[in-house]
Amino acid sequence: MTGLLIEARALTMRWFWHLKREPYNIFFTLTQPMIWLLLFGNLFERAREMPGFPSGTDYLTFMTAGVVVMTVLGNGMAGGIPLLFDRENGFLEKVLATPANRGSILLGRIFYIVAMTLAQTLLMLAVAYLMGVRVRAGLPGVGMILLISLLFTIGLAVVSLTLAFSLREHGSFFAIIGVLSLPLFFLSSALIPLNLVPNWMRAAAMLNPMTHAIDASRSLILSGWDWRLLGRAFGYIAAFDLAMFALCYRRLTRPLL
Amino acid sequence: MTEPLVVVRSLVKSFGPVRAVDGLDLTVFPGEILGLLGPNGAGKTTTIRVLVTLVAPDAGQVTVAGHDVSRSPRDVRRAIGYVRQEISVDPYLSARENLWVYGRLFHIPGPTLKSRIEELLTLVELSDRANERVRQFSGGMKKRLDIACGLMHRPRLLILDEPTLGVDVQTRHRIWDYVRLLWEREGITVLLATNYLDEADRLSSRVVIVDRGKVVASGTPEALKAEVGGDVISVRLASESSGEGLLERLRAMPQVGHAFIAGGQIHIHASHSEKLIPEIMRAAADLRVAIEELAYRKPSLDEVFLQHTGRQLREG
Repeated sequence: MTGLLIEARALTMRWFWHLKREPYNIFFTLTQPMIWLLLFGNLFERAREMPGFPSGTDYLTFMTAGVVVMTVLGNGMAGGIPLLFDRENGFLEKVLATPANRGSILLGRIFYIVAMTLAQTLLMLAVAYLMGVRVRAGLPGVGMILLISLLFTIGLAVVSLTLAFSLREHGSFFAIIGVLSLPLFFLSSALIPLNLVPNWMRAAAMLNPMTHAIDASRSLILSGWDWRLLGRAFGYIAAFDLAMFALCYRRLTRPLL
Repeated sequence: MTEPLVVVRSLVKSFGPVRAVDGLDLTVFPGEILGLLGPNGAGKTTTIRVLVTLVAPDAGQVTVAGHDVSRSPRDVRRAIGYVRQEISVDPYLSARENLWVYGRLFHIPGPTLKSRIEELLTLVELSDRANERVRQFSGGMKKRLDIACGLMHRPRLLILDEPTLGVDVQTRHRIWDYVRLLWEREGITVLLATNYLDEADRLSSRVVIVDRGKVVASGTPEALKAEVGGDVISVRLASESSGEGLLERLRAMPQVGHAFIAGGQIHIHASHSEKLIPEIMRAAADLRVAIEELAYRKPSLDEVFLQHTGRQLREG
């Protein structure tokens, strides 16, 4: 176990070194969620006038949790991309020819993605704060939103990494990621409350772990602590993470090249 | 004789309908530089990928440092330093960072790792560029860094797959020097796959020639060349068409071991070229064919390959 952590830490360092040499990447990774916040917040400004929208809430405050979880989705789903290049330029093969546990490839990447996601979430909440969004549950509530982001990003990253281990062609990888991401996003409560969508969409959205991550985060922002919502969110996200790990484990026990 | 470091028995590996390795046997003894020589597609890389546990064999036994590649792959990987045919350093990291990441994958502790990295950077002459991003390196520099990675954990066996493919002549000679140096200084065992005759000849203490997934000959470069028999004489005639008649005459001579036409020249393997050359001149004069050029040399591994397979190692 300690061996696995030594290896994973070395590979995590590698990703941070990559980032250090890509200043544009840092810049856009950090500004992109702010742009979302600004655009969506203003685009749907008048949505709150719709009947059924939580009263006394401006759209930006409503939207913040949606943008946070959407960023988590984007981050997690893009997590496997560098592995496509590692497979191509031989670095993956080189690592596989060392005694290192192959789980360290997965873990090293997850550590990095989690760190990036937490930084982005925190930054978004800070920007939202400057735009007047207050988290009702206070700082512990912010901590809870971070925890939800962290747990959800892990499962998503594992999906992406499993796909990167399985698909040889970059085109298929991006196509599948695109096809998976869209319904996860639109069949969720990211943009509008679910009581405003058709029944079948609501039913589908309730099966989506993303909906529960958003609902729990949103309740922390809008109304404070709702343990029933939080419990349901952790239940769904944990189940999702475990299922994805199981899938990935199966993949890792088979030849990777 | 000492316990062999690598034992390969009747290795078979197919990819779909293609039998890349077809019953190959190979033994590597500690302290030798074994040259695995053969044309592209002979099964060298597949054999190596089985040895480094990246590809599972279909049949046969393969052990490295006493460990079976299928049963205890991790022990095998610990014993091996593997340098791939293609450059596989991380272009976004510096040379030092590349070595650091690689060393940590072998659990080399901090202080030891630090000194080992400096030692290797010095060895491959990259100390003054150690903190630069590898993407800016020349091909030869990247290759040297790759080799340094392979040496990181002081492996018992260093496996080099075509180490000088695609590098310039100067780098080639430098890489040969490193391999020699390592071999002399650290007593490392080297398995070198190559399709360059001179590389196998200059570097190896023993050569195993493979073709179509099988071993066709093995021995020291000297012994293999001696088997060809004496010298190789090549004769270029003024007009190519008249070669057949002379060839027939030559084949009738008792000193001639083997004679054939290839590449517009007559090649003759003979035990005593100094006696044979005047006779060739005389025969040519009898037949009224004009000799444009006559050369003789010691046989190279190309002749060895030719003798065993009926083809030249490098066509054209």
